[in-house]
Amino acid sequence: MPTDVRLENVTKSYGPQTVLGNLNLDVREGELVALLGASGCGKTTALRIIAGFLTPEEGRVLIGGQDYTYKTPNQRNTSMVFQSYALFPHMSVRENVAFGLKMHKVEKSQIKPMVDEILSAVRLEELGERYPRQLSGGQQQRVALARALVMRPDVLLLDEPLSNLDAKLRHEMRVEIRLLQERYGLTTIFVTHDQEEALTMSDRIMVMNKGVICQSGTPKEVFERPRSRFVADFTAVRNFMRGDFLEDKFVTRSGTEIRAGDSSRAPGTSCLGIRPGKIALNPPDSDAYANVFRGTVKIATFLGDKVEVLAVLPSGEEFILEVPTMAWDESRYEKGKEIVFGWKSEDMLYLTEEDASK
Amino acid sequence: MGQHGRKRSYQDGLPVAPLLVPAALVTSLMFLAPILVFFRFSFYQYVPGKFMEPAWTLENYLEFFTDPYYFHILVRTLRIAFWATLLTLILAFPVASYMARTKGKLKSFFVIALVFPMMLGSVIRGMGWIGLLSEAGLVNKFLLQTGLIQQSLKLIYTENSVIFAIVSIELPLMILTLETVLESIHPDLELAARNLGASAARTFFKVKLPLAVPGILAGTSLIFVQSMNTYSTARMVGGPTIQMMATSIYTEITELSNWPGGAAMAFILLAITLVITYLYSHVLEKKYIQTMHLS
Repeated sequence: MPTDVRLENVTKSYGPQTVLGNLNLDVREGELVALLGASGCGKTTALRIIAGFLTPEEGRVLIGGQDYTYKTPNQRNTSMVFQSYALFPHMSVRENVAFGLKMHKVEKSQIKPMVDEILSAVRLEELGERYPRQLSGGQQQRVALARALVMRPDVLLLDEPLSNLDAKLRHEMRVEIRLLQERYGLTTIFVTHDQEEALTMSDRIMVMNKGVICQSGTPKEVFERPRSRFVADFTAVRNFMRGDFLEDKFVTRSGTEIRAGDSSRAPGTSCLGIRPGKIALNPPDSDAYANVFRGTVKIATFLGDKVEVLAVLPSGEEFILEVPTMAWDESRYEKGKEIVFGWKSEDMLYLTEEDASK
Repeated sequence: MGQHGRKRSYQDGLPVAPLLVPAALVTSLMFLAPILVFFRFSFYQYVPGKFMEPAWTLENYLEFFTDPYYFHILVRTLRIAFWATLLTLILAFPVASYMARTKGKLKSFFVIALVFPMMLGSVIRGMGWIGLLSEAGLVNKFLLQTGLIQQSLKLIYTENSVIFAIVSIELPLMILTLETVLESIHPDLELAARNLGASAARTFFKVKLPLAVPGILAGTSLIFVQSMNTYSTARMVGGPTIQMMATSIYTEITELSNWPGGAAMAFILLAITLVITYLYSHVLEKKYIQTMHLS
C-alpha cells in the first residue's frame, strides 16, 4: 500500500567523501517527488538508501512511520526502476514481471491474472513470451515499470528512468509514467538531472546540491521563484548579474546599475537573474519596464520559432535574449547593430550565491 | 588517416591470406601429421621384441577395453578429472565473484597474482608438491616435530594428492574464465532481485548462477579436458601407483615399446575427451544458453 516516506538527518559518505550531509526529505502518500540535481549530488545515493542497498552512517529511514533504516532490501516493499532497467536476461517478460510475486510466495493461481493485468496496463500483453534483448528500449522500460508496479509497492523509486530513451519516446513515457502513478496512487520518488522532466512530471521538486536539498516546492514555485543561483541555473535561467545593493540600486560587478529596489526587498541577494524569454526587445515605454538597456548584437542564433541573441552593453555586461522569430528583423539587427531591450521588475529573480538551507 | 588506408586493405582481403600460410604450414606439419601417423600406428600389430608390424587390426583397441588393468586406469582418470574440475569450480567461484567487482589497482593485483603461477611450468610446481608432501617433506616434518603425529602420513602418491595438485594448477585459469563472465553481469541485476524480495541466497541461485552458466561451462570443460590429459602432475604427485591415461600411454610406448597399444590408448583418450565435452556443452547449452539469449 502506498505510504509516506521520510529521511531524517541522513548522512552517507564513501571514504573521506561525504555524499549526503544531514539530508531531510519528506514525501507524502501518493505524491510524486522529483529529486533534481547534477550527477554526483547524492540523489541516487538517497534513492539507494530508501531501497536498502546502502545503509546510512547516521539518521533514519521511515516508511509509513516505521523505522526501516537497517532492514535488508528484501524486507522492504519498495520497487525500483533502474536506469539500466536491470531486466533479467535469462527470463521472459512474463517471468521478469512474475519474479517479485514468486519471491513473495504469492499463490501460483494468483500470479497469472496479476501479471496479465499489469502487462495490459503498460500495453505489453502481446510480448509476454519475449526475452528482454528482443525488445526495444521503450518496451524494456515498460517491462521494468510493470515489474515494479505489479508489487503494489509502498514506494516506487525511479532512477533516471528516461535517460536511455530517445527524445520522442521520453516525452511519451513521461505522460505514461505519470498516468500509471496516478492510477495506482503510488508514492513515487523520481531521480533526474533533467529540469524539464522534473517540472512536467512531479507534484513537488526537491533540488539537490552537494548532498543537501537546497530548495523544494511545487514545480511552479521552484521555476518562478528559485532562491539561489544554483537552483536558477538548474531551471534554465541564463542571465545572472552578480553584484550588491548600493542605496536604492543594484550595482553589478561591471558597474551596470539595475533598478531592483533596495536591499530590504530581498536580504542576502548577491545576484539577480532573468530568463532569456522574459527579456523584451524594444519594450514599451511604461513604468512596468523599469530596466531598459541599449546594447549591441554580438551574435544571433536561429532556433526555429525563436532567435537567441547575445547582446552586450557598453559596460561589458552580457545578456541572452530569446526573441520570437516573427519579431526579429535580420537586416535591422545584424551583428554589431544597436538594440534596445528590457524586462519587467516582476520577472527579475533575487538570488543568493550560496544555498540557503546549508 | 593511415588507419583508414589499412582498413580498406583489410576489406580487400589481399594481404591477409599470405600471412596465414606459415601458421597453416606449422599446424599441418607439427600437429596434424603426427596425429595421422599415430592414428595409423594404432592399427599396427604389436609383436613383442620386434617393435611393430604394419597391419590393419583392431586388436589394440579391443585389448584396452577387455583388459581390466587398462579399463581401471580409464575409470580412475575420469574420476580424478571429475573431482578436480568440481573442486576447482567451487573454489574459484567466490574468488571470481569478488574479483569481478573490483577495479583499478586491486584488479591488476589479482590478475598478476593469478597469471604469475601460470608462468611456472607444471613440472616445477609438481616438484614443489614433492618437497612439501613426501614422506620427508615439509608438512610431515612439521607435524612430526610438533608431535601432532607419530608416523609420517601418506600425503603423496595418492589419488587425492593428484586431485589437489591439479586443482592448484588449474585454479587460476578457472578464476580468470569465470571472472570474465561474472564481470559482464550488470550489478543492478542482483540489486533488482533483492529489491523484488529475493534473499541473498535466492538472488544467487535465481539470477547470478544462471547468468554465470556460460562461464561455468567454458571453465569446467576446459579444465576437465586438461585434467583428463594430465601427465607431469600425475607422474610426479601420483607416482608409479596412480597411473592415469597419459602416464600409462607413455609407459606403454617407452618402457614396453608397444607403440600400437600406446597409439590406440591415445586415440581412446582423445575420443572420450571429445565425446564428453561435446555432450556436456551441447546438452547444457541447449538447456541454458539458448533460452537465455545472451548476446
